[in-house]
Amino acid sequence: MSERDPYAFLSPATAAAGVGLRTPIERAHLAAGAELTELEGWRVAAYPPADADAWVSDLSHLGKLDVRGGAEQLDALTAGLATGAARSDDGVWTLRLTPTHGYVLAPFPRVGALRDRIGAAAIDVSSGLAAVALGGARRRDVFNRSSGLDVREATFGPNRCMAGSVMRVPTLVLNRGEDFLMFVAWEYGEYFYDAILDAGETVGIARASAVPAAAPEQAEEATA
Amino acid sequence: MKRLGRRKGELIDREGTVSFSWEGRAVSGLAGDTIASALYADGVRVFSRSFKYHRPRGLLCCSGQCPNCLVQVDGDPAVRACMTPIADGMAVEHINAWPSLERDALHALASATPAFGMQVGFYYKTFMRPRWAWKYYEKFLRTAAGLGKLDPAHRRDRRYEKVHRHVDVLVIGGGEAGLEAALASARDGRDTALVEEGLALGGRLAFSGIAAATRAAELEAAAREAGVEILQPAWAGGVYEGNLVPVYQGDTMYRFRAGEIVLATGTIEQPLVFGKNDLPGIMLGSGVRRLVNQYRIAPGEEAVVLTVDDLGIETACDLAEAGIHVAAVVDTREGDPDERLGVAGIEHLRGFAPVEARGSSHVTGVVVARGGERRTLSADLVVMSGGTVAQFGTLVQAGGSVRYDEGRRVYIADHVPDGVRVAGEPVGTAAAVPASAETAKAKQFVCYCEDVTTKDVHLSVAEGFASLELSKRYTTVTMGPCQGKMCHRNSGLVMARELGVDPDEQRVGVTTARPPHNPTSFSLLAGRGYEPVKRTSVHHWHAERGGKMLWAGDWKRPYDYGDPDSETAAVHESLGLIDVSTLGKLIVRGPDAAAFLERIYPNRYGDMKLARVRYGIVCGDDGSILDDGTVARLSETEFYVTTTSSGAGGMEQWFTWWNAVWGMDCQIVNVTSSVAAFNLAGPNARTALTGLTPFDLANEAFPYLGAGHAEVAGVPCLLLRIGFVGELGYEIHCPAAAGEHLWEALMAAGEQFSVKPFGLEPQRVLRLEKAHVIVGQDTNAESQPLEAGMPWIVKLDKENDWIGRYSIEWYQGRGNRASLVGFEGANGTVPKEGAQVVVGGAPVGRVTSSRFSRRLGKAIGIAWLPSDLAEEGTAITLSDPSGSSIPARVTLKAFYDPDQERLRS
Repeated sequence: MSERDPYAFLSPATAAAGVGLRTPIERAHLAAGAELTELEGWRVAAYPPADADAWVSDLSHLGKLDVRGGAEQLDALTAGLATGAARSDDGVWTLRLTPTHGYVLAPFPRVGALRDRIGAAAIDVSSGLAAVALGGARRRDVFNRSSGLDVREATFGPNRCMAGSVMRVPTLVLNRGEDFLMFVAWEYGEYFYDAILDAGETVGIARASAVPAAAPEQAEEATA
Repeated sequence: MKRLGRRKGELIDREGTVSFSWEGRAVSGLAGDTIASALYADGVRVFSRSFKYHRPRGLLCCSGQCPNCLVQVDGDPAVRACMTPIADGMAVEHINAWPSLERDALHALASATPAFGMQVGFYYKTFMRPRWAWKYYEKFLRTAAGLGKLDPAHRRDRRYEKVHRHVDVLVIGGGEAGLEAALASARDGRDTALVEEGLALGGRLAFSGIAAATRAAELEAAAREAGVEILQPAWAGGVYEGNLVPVYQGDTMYRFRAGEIVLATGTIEQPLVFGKNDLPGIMLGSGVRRLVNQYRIAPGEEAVVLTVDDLGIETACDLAEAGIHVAAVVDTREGDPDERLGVAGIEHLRGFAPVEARGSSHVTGVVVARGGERRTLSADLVVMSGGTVAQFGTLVQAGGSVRYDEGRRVYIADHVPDGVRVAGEPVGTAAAVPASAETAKAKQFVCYCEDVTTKDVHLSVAEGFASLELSKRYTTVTMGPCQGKMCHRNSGLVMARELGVDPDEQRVGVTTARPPHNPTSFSLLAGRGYEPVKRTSVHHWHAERGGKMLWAGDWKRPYDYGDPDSETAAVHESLGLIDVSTLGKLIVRGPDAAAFLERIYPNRYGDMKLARVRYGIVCGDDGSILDDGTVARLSETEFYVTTTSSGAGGMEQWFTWWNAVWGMDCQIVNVTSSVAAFNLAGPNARTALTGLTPFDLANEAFPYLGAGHAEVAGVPCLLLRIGFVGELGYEIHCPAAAGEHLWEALMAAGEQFSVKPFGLEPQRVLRLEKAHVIVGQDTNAESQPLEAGMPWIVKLDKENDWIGRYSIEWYQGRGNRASLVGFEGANGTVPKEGAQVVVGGAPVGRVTSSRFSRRLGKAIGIAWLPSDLAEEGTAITLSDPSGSSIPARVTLKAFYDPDQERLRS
């Protein structure tokens, strides 16, 4: 047995090309008529753009590291983030949930390097946590139908994170400003996604793609 | 009925017409009408029948406080007609009357047989004999009782929501005090919501006169402008721990968490106690004023007002202003006639009190008395203003208390808990039951919901129920839909009169105000039905290929794929694949990881070699078996622990708890969610797997109980050479995101061996053939390893202490009393799980697992029995729940491959 990486079997990042990593919500996407496209080794859902006051998106393909250590170690790793705070640097989110527990979220291809940089304190939970983003002007209406957590702007503004019950399952919630990014156990992913859709039915919630459609000018640049 | 002229504060839109039906008859009302106001304007006077005597009941409070106008609306029972706006197409029907509201057979029965069984406490006294007749009584009572009928075949397609809300301040009550409190709070910059049950804000202001209505409108406008969120009509169901207030509005229940709760629940006008005080046409003053001032309906032509305070005088003035003739105001107070009444030309009878009403199906007058002087006044409308009581239910639910103020002869707020504030001055009016009413011969109702009379209270006191809290359990007063709003005070006053004491908290007391405040549907309480379900990464593969997906704890797992016997045979003869992703999986790591496991488990881990797996059980302090699983050593300081599927959460907590207690340099990380796990089992397992991985699977290189990292079908995996099913097998752990890919690759690789996926049922047969124990099925909370056939795992010679050691040492000293053993049925019959082991006709043990093994051609099982029977070959008798006796023989070895040759091959 290799002693170099005892946790290789936890990390989808080391899967060979062509494996086709799947989110736990894939069948729900297919049932809803979504197309699956390849993104960074993952099969992700693409939906037609929709104009809605609330939207939900499966971002389970994000890279996720569970970081645990002593309080001083976490202070150093998070550059002094306060408990319940989060920060975004160059596409990488760092969350400080408790004094000794945090998370790092990053584009999936960067997970391996980040894990190496953080060291033994980090465990790759990319396929341990399903990620569902809830956005739109009425996202708080939908959230309030899903959870008793207080997500008022005054108490849970952008760059805040907390753990609690959403849709009756343990959830990590991050306010990214434009959306609430929620993480639940992988096995709850499909239930959670369906439940959020149900909660948002009265406000006309829409399914959104894992990758936002390119803005017109970007699309033109890509074509050129 | 023609409506009265336009008036400021009226709630109706005279330009809008709404059509609905009442008892199948088309009725039209005005937009803004409630069901009650529209029906009253249409000439309806009887709205319901009373609970016991089925007496006709008409409108009383017009504010949702009494039970008199409960109706069934579009299939919903117990709807308050006076609080429900009419809507086009709405179908409204009566409840609790047969065959019709106007002619109710049960009223005829109750009238014809006044002595028949309906006195107080009839629940305990009547319908007892003859005993054989109960089944008929029960059918009759079930038909007669209730507040509406639910159609069991009716499919509910309405959407009931629960919405969580957080506010700085929640004001309950939208009267003057509530509006002022909310306005002040919002102007202070606090996030404020206000809940008002009625259809108009302002409370009494809204129906009390032009100036008052103007003041209410100004307050409402100011509150809205200041940003107060107003929920109306909506009602607060109660106050729960943590300032949680459920607020019901339409088909939505809001669960408010408030930093501060402001109780502005005000007061409720009370009825008076006198003979036949329940006749249609006898109404509360506030109800009359609502009909007149808000819905512009003349509730009668000739009115008499009975009052104990100035509210009755104000009501009389409003009636006179609306053109209704008021014959007299009968005032229990002594003194000079009120000037306002003199101006209106209304006779003011001072010092008089009502004795009893006249009429049978509707009031025609009222007898009043002053000492020996009696007068009979004709009226088709009798107005009661029996004073007011403060609503303290929510205060008490919030942890506050009330006390009796002897000076003012009313209950007042005493203790108000932190986080709660009482707004306004909800004191109420002192009142007493008129002594003159004692001479009335007719029933005098103190509780409209439950038909409780003064005579009932008298009887309950005579039988020893000498406090209100006790008496209510006998009379059921305050236990109906009004929850005491109309009867709490009067029943207390009547009881005090019976006892000859003050109605204070020590001698008469108060009842407990429990939520919900109003009748509530179960649909609202239930909301949407969200039931979390755990699915493995291969869940849909199973379902799409015929897997019978059944609940297994929180998970959905395939029971089988349609043919459990052939699935079992495939594992024995060639190859099978089962999804065991539900196993709990923990990483235990750190310099003290091995020492930590030594303390957790009864067996050794410190001496465990790298890349090896060991079976382990976890015991509690009492030595009982909590869980089992395997431990693989990934490095000197890192271990991978599996637990049972249902034990994952519990074991994580158990490990984490003890780690904190011991303060060891060790981390526990639950990776159950991250990892999919499959067991490839059968004689062809090695050959099939070899084609997918460069890992050396030869028995010499990777023997039984080995562990190794391997890439399988391009997926990083941890291979564990273990098996629960008794054949050569590999437990393959991989990232959940690659689970379905790997599963499909394994199925494809096994195709040449006719691989079959197998479910839980084949697995149960296979493990039983090996006599493997399932913790929780074959063991219970008292099972310890010495008796459960696992003494070999207990290492009492370990140097360190471990959880359960003390108890297990004690058990060893005592000796086993029971043993968990295998048995083979002697005649092929499979006893049911739960069958008894019997000796001499007495039960001495029980069967925990049993199946028929086609591989072995016999019935096999596991059972607890007395240790003196736990000898190889002992004949025992099993008693099936069906009563049949099944002969069996004890075995102490595995039924299949007892020497592990196949497993280790």
